Amino acid sequence: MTMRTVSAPHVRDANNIDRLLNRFIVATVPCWLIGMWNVGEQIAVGMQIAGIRNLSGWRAELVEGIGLPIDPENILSCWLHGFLYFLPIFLTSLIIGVLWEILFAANRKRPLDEGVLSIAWLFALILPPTATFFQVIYGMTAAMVIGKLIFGGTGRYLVSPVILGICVLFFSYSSVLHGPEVWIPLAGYQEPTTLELAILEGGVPALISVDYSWWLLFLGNQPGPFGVTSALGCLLGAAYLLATGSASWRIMAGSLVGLVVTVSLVALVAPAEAVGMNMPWYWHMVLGGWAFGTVFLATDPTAAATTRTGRWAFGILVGVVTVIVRLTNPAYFEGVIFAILLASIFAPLCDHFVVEQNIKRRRARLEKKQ
Amino acid sequence: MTIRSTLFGPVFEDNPVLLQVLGVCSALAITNSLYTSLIMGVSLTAVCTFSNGVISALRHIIPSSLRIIIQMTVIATGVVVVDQVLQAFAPDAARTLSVFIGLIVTNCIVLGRAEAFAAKNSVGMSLLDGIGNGLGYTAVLVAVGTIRELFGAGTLLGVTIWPTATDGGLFVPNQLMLLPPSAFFIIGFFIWGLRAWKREQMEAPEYNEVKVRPEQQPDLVGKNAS
Repeated sequence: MTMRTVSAPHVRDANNIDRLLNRFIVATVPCWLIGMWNVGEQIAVGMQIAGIRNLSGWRAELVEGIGLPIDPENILSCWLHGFLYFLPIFLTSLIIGVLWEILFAANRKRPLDEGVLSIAWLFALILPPTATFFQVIYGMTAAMVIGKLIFGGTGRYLVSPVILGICVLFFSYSSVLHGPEVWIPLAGYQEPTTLELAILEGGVPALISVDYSWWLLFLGNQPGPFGVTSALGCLLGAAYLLATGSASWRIMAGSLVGLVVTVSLVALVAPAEAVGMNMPWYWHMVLGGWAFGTVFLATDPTAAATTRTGRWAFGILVGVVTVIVRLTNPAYFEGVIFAILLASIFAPLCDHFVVEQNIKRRRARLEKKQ
Repeated sequence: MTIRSTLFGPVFEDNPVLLQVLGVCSALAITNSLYTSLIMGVSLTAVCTFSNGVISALRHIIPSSLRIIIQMTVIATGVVVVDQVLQAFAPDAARTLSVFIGLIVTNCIVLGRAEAFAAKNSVGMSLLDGIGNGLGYTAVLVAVGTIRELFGAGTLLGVTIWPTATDGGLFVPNQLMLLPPSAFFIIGFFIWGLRAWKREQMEAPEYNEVKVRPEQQPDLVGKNAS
């Protein structure tokens, strides 16, 4: 007789939780592929606009050295150029992460934890191309030591180490992830993110006026961090995560519900001249980091809620807080990081109430039987 | 109980901030520069020594049912004196610290020492205990204040140590260090370090891990298809 395990609490295979996290790396591959091309394309377009003919530096020399022109139309050269910006940042975060992991594992006489791979990978994907070595080392150290190892590793931490590392980095050096000059690594060239453009300059018309369309943003061709810009990539990643049972669909759906409901409610009460607040929800979905955060960061199996109702509450909290930060914080619009941080802190509370309710219901059922 | 343990015990062995986790509120709020940390540490030491001495001298005539009220009155008197002295001789510091000098009244270290030590011990030992706990508190404040001012502004006591990037140097100020939550992280690291050094300060674990020997571990691969 063949038995199949379907739902959550059964052992399916020898996968443990830190190996499960490696599926998040596989799931982000579409985002990464599109993101590398996007970074290179943004640089090439930026050069045309700023009138820069020749780009100095080893990256451009390498791309031109193998015979590829730096041209926004050439997909391969754009991809390679973007990848050469990503590679040092990813390698730095990986080396720093593994070093901390080895140090703590040796000191505690425990096996190495594979979760460090996904932390380094996701952390590098959230960074902009202009992040410096020191900033990467600092953020990754915060992610590993304060975020993960202090609590005893994967399965024990309170908030996702990636989120914590990014938050510590942002609060320490806010210019890393903020401002029009960080997204495209050309000296003196400024290009705000589409989210900033939409909320500061005036909603969808402002985006359309500079030749952005919904489909272009959905594809991910916009200034932003390495891997976060593409909603299409996040959708493919979500499909993979859900098909392999690695992430909870309730969290993703909850975040979507939270976003749609909050945006619609704000649009009901907002005055007509506040164009940023009247932006429809399907534009919010492709702007900024909401899609990436919802699919890959909020679903962290350790930090998120674990009960079914708790996961709905957790997801809705992420969606609602993201929109509130986007529409009301005048200084920094990318609310999804703070939304996930806040929701992770409330996750044990969500679970607590759900478990209490379960106990109450079952006790009532038992008493009725007797 | 020796003079030495009463005076220096509260620095490492029984630190009011790091082990008893008292007085953390002020340690977060005023440690963004070394100067304010020093003034705050000295003020608290003065108040704590004064209140410990007075309460110990009065300990046989204070009725037990009224002791908290009398202790608070003595502490408040000390705080008002310190506040007035600061306003007279260090008006800048008094302005920077604003309400936090007044809030020494509510600092758990002062009342805690009055209640736990001065109410039961001789005047001499109580004075030493007040100085000792003030030292423990000041040591933490000075350490946190040094780290926060050095990495948050590149200065120490207002003197430039590392020129910042805006002034032509290489150092980029860490904005987190200027925010009170950074003191949480720093004090947390201190507690971590202190407990790694002095193991007896570690708390007992709330639960113990179940150790499974390798031969008892179930082989999970391929067994569920039988």
